[in-house]
This record gives sequence, structure tokens and C-alpha cells, in this order.
Amino acid sequence: MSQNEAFFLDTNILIKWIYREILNENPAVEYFIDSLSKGQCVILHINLSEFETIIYDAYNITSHVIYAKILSKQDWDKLGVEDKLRVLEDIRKDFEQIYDQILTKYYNGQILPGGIRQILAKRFFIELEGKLIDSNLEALRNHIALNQRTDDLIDYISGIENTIRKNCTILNNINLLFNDDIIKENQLIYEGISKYIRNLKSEGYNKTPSRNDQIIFVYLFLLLRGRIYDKIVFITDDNDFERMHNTVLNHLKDIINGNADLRGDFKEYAIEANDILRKLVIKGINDLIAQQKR
Amino acid sequence: MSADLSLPLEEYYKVPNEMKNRNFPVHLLEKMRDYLVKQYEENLFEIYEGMLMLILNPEDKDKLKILLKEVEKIKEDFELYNSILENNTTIGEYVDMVMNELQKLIDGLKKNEEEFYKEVLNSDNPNFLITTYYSLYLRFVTTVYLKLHKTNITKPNIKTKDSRIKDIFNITNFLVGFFGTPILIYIKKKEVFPYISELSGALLHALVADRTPMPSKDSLGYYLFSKIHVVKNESK
Repeated sequence: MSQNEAFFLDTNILIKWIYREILNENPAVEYFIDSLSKGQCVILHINLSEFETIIYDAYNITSHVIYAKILSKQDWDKLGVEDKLRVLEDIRKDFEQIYDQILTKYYNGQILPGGIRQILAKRFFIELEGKLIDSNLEALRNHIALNQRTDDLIDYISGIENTIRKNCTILNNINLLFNDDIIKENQLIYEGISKYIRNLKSEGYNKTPSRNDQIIFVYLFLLLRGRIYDKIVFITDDNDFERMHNTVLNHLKDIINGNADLRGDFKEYAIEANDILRKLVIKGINDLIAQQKR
Repeated sequence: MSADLSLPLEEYYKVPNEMKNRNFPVHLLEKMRDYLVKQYEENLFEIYEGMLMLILNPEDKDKLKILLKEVEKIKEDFELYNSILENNTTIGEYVDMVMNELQKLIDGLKKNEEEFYKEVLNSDNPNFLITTYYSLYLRFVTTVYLKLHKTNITKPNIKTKDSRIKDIFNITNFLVGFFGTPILIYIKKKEVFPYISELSGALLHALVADRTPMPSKDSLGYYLFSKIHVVKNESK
């Protein structure tokens, strides 16, 4: 493998890796990441932000649950340990319903429902139970409702980032110089992406690539174009990226063949962009794991 | 919502004196919000890059130039006064002005922090996203202020427009203004900005990246981290 070949992890892979046990995921994901060197395993800051957004949403709802069910009740300090345990148990038992109620009532359209956020929120709650019993109301209020919550969140996330950093490189500051050629090539890529989104919509798909996905795609292109990497394998859990990649390549081919750009003004840029994008490989994590076993 | 708090923010956005506070033109805020949502959707790349750079590596002059060119398009509507300012001030005066504005903003946010949390959480619509955002924003502005404080101005008497350092203060103005808008929108309209989670994720990542981890022992975050992640690694 050449020195500049790297595996980039999509947000869904980060989740599978970091929360493998909570999600009951195949340990092979972890083994695969462990098998890569630090330089080979790369994460874009956009993916990391996306991952942290999920934790942020979950932690905020955990706080809201504790706030509504415990802090708003003035008698928490007066309860004996057994009564406190009973309250916590009741919340734990109904956690999913409480979570959904709070989400619908206060965060409609702000936080996506269900899924990973709910699982994480519940786990945060369960792990905090001991602290909820130990702490007095005022200390809890500081942590859950006032300004210590942000410190807690930052501490938690920096712990996770440290774990990630032990195995992978986080690309924080990329010097991607813009010039006219890049802008023209980028234009073609955006056209390709738009075409992909239009196709999806016309086929009746509601799920189209998010803004972040589009930006990640452009980032990968720019990293290859700037020769920061010679080859990038982007590891993901769904086929959104693969389809986006194929549609963009087809769009570039249309321009090269003159079908989409009759005067040929953009042909040379399309050729360049096409050469670059061929160095990008999109792989499903399961394919990689199966490949490794062989 | 506390009138005290909206003042430092409005000050930052240069709302003319007669419009301040009670007479704040909400329709302008609506326009600003729509504009912001649109810019956010279209220019995420520049915004993320700019923020990371500001916190991690404010001295990167080449990158700054490129970014500034990109955000220039977004900036125009926000800062029409900028060119007048740059032609009529020295860089020393300009830097003092920006730093002064940042100080006032930080002090105002700090002073009203607890009050803000209490008001939001005791309202009919308690919302933890906006309170966390508030404290992330306060930390972001403070971090930026501390970084800029170290900037060395060798020739304070040259015109701002001819100075190379003006770019960093320029982009600061833009980003501090950009990230502050969701709070102003909440104060004035009680609306939570649609992309608040994503913006928070970006702020969180930038703040964490800048930080040497040294959690206090009563940190719940550190406690959670060790319970969920550390035991697992040791048993491997």
C-alpha cells in the first residue's frame, strides 16, 4: 500500500465503533479500525462534528428528562435512598416514552426522533443514576440545568476524541487552496450531485444526501486533488455515497463525451475531475470486514 | 427575556441607538434569520473552516486570505460599515474597537448567563439546546478573545485598510456575529434556530480540539466517559 492511501470513516462508522457495545455491534468493526495505522485511519472534522451533534442532542434530552422528572420536584433531597431508587427505576422503565414525549413537546423539528440518540440518552441516564442518588439538589442543578453541563459535555467529548486520536488522525486544518481551476471542477461536481439529488427525487426517494454529505464529498475530492492523499477509501454503512459518487462520475463522462457540454468549454476540467475521482473508493464496512477474513 | 442581555448583543450588531431594545425591529431579525438559514445551508464549508481556524490557528495568513474571499460574499450584508471603518481608522484603533466590543459582549453574556438559563428553563417551553448553545457560544467568544489578545501589532499607526492583521479581526467580527444570531433570535422571538444542533456540534468540536483534557474530578462528563468507555477498553 502506498504511503498516501487512507481510510476515511463516515459518521455512521464512528458511531458503530465508539458505541459498539451499547449498540451490540459486530466487534469486527473495532478489529478492522485497530488493524489500521494511525495515519491510515482518517476522520474529517465535519464527520466528527456530526458525531458530536448526536451526542449533544442525546445528552441534552437526558438532562431534560432529569430536569423534568427529578429537579422540578422539590422533595428530592428529602427522599430516602430507597425512594430515590424507585423514582429512578420508574424513569428507567418508561425512558423511551418519556423521551418521546419530551421530544415531541419541546424539540419538534429540532432533534431527529428515535434511533441512536434515544439509545445514548437512556445509557447516559442509567450511568448517571449513582450520581443522582449521591448528589444534593443544588449540585445536581448546577450540573444538569446550569453552566456545569457544558463543561461536563466538553469533558465527555474530549475523552472520546482522545480515544479516537489514539487510533486515527483527525483532519482539523486542511490548507485547500482555491483557484479558478478548482472552482470550475467543483462546479461540475456540484452539478453531478444536484443531478443525483434530482434523480432520487424523481424516483420518489425522500432521503437525499445531507448538506454535510455533499461537503464531505467535496472535501474528499479536494484532498485528492491537492495530492494530500493518493487514494482514499471512504468507509460507510449505507450506499448514499456510492450512488452519489457514481452519478457524479456519469455526469463528468457526459461532459467529456460532449453530451452535457456541447461546446466543450468544460471538457478539460471534467477530464481532470474524473481522473481525480477515480482515486476515490466507497466501501461498505461489511464488505471490508468480509474481505479481511478471506 | 432579560433586557440586559439583548443590549450587549445588539451593541455587537450595531443596532442604531434609537432602535435598541424595546423598539428592536423584529422584521429585520426575521430577515436576518432567513438569510442566516440560507447562508448556513450554502456556506457551511467556509463557516466550519473559518471557525476551526480562528480557534486553532489564527495566525495562518494564507488560509485567512482565501477564507476571507469566500466569506466576503456572505459578509457584505452583515457589515456594510466595514469599508468606511477601514478607511477612517488606524489598525491600532480598529483592533482596540473590536477587542472592546468583544469584552463588552463577553461581560454581558457572563453577567446574564445564569439568568438566561433560569428564564428559559422556567418558561412554558424549556429548551436545553438553546441553553447549552448559549454557554458554548460564551466559551467560543472568550477563547477567540484570549487568542486575539496575544496578537502582536507592530505598526499600530498604519491605516486599517493597509494592514495585514485586519483580516483576522474582520473574520472574527463575522463569525462572532454569525454564531451569536441564534441567541438574539431566541431572546427576541423565542424561536430556536433550526440548525442549532449542527452549529453546536461544530462549536463543541472546535472547543474540544483547542483544549488539553484536564477534567475536574466532580465532572459528570468525565465520570460518564470512564463508565461507558474506559472499562470497556481495559477488559479488551
